Amino acid sequence: MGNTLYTPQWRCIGASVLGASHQRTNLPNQDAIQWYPNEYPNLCIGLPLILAVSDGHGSPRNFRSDIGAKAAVDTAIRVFRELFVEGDLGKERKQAIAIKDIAQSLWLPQTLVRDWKQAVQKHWQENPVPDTSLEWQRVVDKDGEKAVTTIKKHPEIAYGATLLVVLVTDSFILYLQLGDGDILCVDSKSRPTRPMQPDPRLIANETTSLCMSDAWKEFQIELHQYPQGEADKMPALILVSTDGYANSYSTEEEFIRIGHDYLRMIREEGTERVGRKLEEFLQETSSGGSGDDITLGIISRVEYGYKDEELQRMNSLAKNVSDFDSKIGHLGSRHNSLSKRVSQQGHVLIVAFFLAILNIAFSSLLLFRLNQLEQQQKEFETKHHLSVSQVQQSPQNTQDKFKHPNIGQKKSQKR
Amino acid sequence: MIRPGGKLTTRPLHFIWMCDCSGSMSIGGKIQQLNNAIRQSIPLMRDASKDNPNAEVLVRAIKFADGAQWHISQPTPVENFEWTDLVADGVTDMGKALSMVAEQLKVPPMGDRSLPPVLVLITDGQPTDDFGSGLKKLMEQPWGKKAVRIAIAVGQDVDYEVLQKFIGNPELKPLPANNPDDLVKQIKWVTTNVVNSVSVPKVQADDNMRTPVPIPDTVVDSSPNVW
Repeated sequence: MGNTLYTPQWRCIGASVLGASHQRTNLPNQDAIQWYPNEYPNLCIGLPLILAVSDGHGSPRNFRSDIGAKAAVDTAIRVFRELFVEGDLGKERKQAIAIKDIAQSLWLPQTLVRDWKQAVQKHWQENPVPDTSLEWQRVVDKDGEKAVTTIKKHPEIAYGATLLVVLVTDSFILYLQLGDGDILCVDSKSRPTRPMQPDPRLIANETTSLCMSDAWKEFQIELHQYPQGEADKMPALILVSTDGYANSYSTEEEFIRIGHDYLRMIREEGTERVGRKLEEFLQETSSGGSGDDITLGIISRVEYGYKDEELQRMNSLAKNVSDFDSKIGHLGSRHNSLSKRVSQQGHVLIVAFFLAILNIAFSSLLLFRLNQLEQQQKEFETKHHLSVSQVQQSPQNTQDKFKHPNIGQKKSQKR
Repeated sequence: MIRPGGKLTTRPLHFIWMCDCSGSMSIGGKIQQLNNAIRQSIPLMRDASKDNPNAEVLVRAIKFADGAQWHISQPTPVENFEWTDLVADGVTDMGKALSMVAEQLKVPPMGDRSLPPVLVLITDGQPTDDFGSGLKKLMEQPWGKKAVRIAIAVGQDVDYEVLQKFIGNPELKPLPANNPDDLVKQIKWVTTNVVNSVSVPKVQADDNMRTPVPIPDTVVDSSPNVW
């Protein structure tokens, strides 16, 4: 029986809905979401877990931002997977220093921006926009002729999008953000925190973007490390959303209540059941709120039916039982060792017993033989003594014989 | 399961008229034409608002002459907005009006989830007070900087340089209104196109982090200049 019985599994759920205002204007959903392991919207369980969310801009000059957003999340999942799952860092996650270096250096943002630009430029070349296209007309109407020239020179502008990525491993969580949107952590006591400070420039519907020149400079990166034994300090939930969600509430307080509400709901109903309701929640929110597309990904380490404290208590109990098991096991092995020794000693005793029996038998035999010998010796001595005495007496006897010849004869006759 | 989170709200779009009520506005019936134009624009503004049900257009107005004063101080939903006529008298304390608007664009009372505010400055002259100080106060506020600032120049005596500073975007020029028809057209353009444009859910910031606004067509017609 292991102590992993009650260890919660990390899961990811999510949904992306077309904004109410986009429905009215026949615009597509310009948000995108992707995750690993598995692919959105299929079940995502286990570590390392990667979640990427992107929000394509709604401006006429960003007329391919839905494709740009999809390219952003696909690029992010691929780059993170290659680096943290399949690469050296995935194999040796204890390389905390290397991870910190990557998180703090500009290499990761530069790679993401470069790969995203390559992806969208390839799409642009394979799918050119005809000069007569309505998209160009809308650009002219909104931003003037000059904007058309700029986009033709820098086609990535047409694909402009934000990017939010969260990577969860058993020892660290990496947060990365370019542009608006929200990353919200909720601890086991339902307390919400933001791992990154909101960029004060990003108000009034404006955002930094993958399509900006030097976009890599605009990334915010946060690394939270959890040494062994501190996994309980990891967030119970991590919510990653496009800004259409937060903009549907009048204040920060009204918005961050989602953290408490989702945690309670997941504990009561289970992660997968809540996942199936997300689309409905987000549609209602967009309709009654910002009207923008809304995308939400929730990374959860919450076990259905249990509060985190209960899980901790259960884990503690499971650990005690496990300790008890190991002690019993230890005692058992000592018992076996003793039995083995007793058994070895038993064999020695049996051998000793037989040796003792043999010894006794041999001693008895010897004693018996000795007695026999003594008896024989006595008989011999008796005989010998008689012979000697006869020898000693014979002159006299002879004399007696000579004196009394019948006497000798009578004694000999008696024996 | 009940939808998570607090109370949902549409996004507020603050629209502020900044009207010059100096004595010169009474010349040639400019102030009355302004009153008429704004009154006529209200239904158009309501229609624009209906097209964007996820934006709540809240309107108010400030007037400046000798000092400045809120003409309609409460942000009023456009559905309930009624225009009260302005009367022209005094000098052109435009700087004071900018300072007062700056106060209202602080957070709070503004929230951080609004759509960019729209400030429409209508004047026929030149500031008589410290315009630079007022503009500085406005631009110190994040919402002041992000606001879509439109200027309508009424007549020939307007200081375009001052209005260009207020707009802060070289691609967007002050809108000229040299006769009553122009004034009506410019005000209608502001209350429809700009409101629609600002209600767009999201735009990519340019390098100066300005809110992009539509470039107006040449909406003035060939009517003779009467102002």
